[in-house]
Amino acid sequence: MSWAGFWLVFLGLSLAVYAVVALAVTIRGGAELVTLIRTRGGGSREPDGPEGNSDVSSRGRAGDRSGD
Amino acid sequence: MSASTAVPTLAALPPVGGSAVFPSSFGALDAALIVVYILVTVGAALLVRRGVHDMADFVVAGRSLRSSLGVATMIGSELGLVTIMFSAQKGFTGGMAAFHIPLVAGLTTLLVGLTGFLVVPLRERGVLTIPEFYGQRFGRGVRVVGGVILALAGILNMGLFLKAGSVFVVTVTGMGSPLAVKWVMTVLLVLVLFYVSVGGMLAVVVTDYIQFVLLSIGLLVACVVALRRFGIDSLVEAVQQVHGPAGFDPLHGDGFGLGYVVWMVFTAGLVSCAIWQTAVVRACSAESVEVVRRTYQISSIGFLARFLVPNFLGVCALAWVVADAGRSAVFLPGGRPADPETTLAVMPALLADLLPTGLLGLVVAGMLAAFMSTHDSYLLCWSSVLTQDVVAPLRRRPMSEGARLLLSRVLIFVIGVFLLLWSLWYPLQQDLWDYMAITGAIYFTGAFSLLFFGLYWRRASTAGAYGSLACGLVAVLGLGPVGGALGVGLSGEQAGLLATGLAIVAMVSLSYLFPDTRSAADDVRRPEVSP
Repeated sequence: MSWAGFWLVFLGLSLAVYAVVALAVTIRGGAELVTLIRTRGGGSREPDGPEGNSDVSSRGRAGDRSGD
Repeated sequence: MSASTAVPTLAALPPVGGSAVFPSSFGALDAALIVVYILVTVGAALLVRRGVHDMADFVVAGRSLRSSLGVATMIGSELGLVTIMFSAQKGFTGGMAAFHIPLVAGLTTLLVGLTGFLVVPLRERGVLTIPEFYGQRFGRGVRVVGGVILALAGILNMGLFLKAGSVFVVTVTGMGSPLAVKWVMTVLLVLVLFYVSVGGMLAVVVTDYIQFVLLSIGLLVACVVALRRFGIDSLVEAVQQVHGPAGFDPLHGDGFGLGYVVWMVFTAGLVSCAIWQTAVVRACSAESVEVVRRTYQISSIGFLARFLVPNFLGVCALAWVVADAGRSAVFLPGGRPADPETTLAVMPALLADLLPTGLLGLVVAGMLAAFMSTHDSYLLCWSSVLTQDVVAPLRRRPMSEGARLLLSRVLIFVIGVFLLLWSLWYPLQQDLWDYMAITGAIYFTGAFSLLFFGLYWRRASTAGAYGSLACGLVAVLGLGPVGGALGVGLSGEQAGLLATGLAIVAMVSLSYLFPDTRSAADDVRRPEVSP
């Protein structure tokens, strides 16, 4: 197969796969985004760590499962 | 150099797309779509504002992203307007051989997802930023130095995004005035600053998702429209006519060549998905290690498409230009691609002519989203690095959450003002991609060494880390004005590969010569901050 043929096959397959993945991600990601906004955008979440703990890396961990 | 001499390189481009020679089909419907998009995104930022409680919320959205949304935001951030423009330019100037860039980018990202290379151990350590890992592994000093280098390189790297984005908007809408470029830059920056300072990462996630949807639809439809208009045969003939065999074979000596391909495996492949902080922050934002792996595996097709789609549009632009003598005179004088500043505008000029009203508005709204998404991700990223890794570690007393949030927002504003001034005054004397690759390499050549050896080699020492970071600065020799002033004639890829090699040698040799007194093995197994 020539380089031109190889790139055209690569292009066609890649765009087809991307279209399918993009559609799936759009649908599922949209549902996840709505859940995220509902749970984290409402302002009702309790702080994760103890007061005065400035170590942000220890915060927002396992307890922050927005969709659970 | 004064503004009057600095601006024309890119500012001279808008009349190309907006003149009577290449008219734009941009109409009232397109403008309405853009207004709707802006209103929706601003409303979303205000909606999620109440969800920002602390730095974890602000920087990594509380680490609450799941796979699909993680994929959308990762692709959304990395499929930036500037990426689309310089990738289209690569398709135009390199032909189908440029498709090797998406190929290596997709394969490398897939391998990272399958193996968890670099990103899984980073996520397991629970860090927010890469310099935070430096601190865990090599100590506070390396964290601060690494944070400064990362932020400076990152801010310089995005220094011309604003100008390139504005040129796109002005060209595709047919505004056609150097003054319009400046005004669009300012308006867009204000919008971005408001958006990211209000909502943090939660707002970024919303923008990323909207961008992902708009651009995925818009660009795929644009590809179909272009393919129907030109046909495969015309595309192949145009590439053959302008580039010859080098337009198809990426290893051909007259085209990219082996050195460039290797450089792309490192930069477009490994760095862009596993070392560049704005991509790594997505791994840090993931809900779990499993989500990290899955996100990278699925995102591999996105990392491929973000180069491939604009590459293809660049090839379509080649056929579009070849078919018309007037366009050829502008973009292919003497049968060869024009200077980089001019060819950068070929894709928006093509879109303005190719897409009908309505679809053009959708694509421009998607591009605006891409512009905002990249800017807000990057602004958030660099302000967080400066807050978390430079200012906070240097203070004797711990900073409160409120103080960190306030400082991050102030830094976002300061960086934004700097970017506006930089875009207005910096003379772009070289290809935009070369400028970006070299400014990024100042950071990532050293960062690769610290990450790789820090995560996988117990003997990696603090002295080796300092040496690696210093060697990364060698990459600056690849910048035209710097190399010229010092009499060093290195290309961007040569300077980058040299800096990478030196950083590795420095890490290994200095780690043997000056090992850490404490047990590095303990560092690897037990991070300072428990996950």
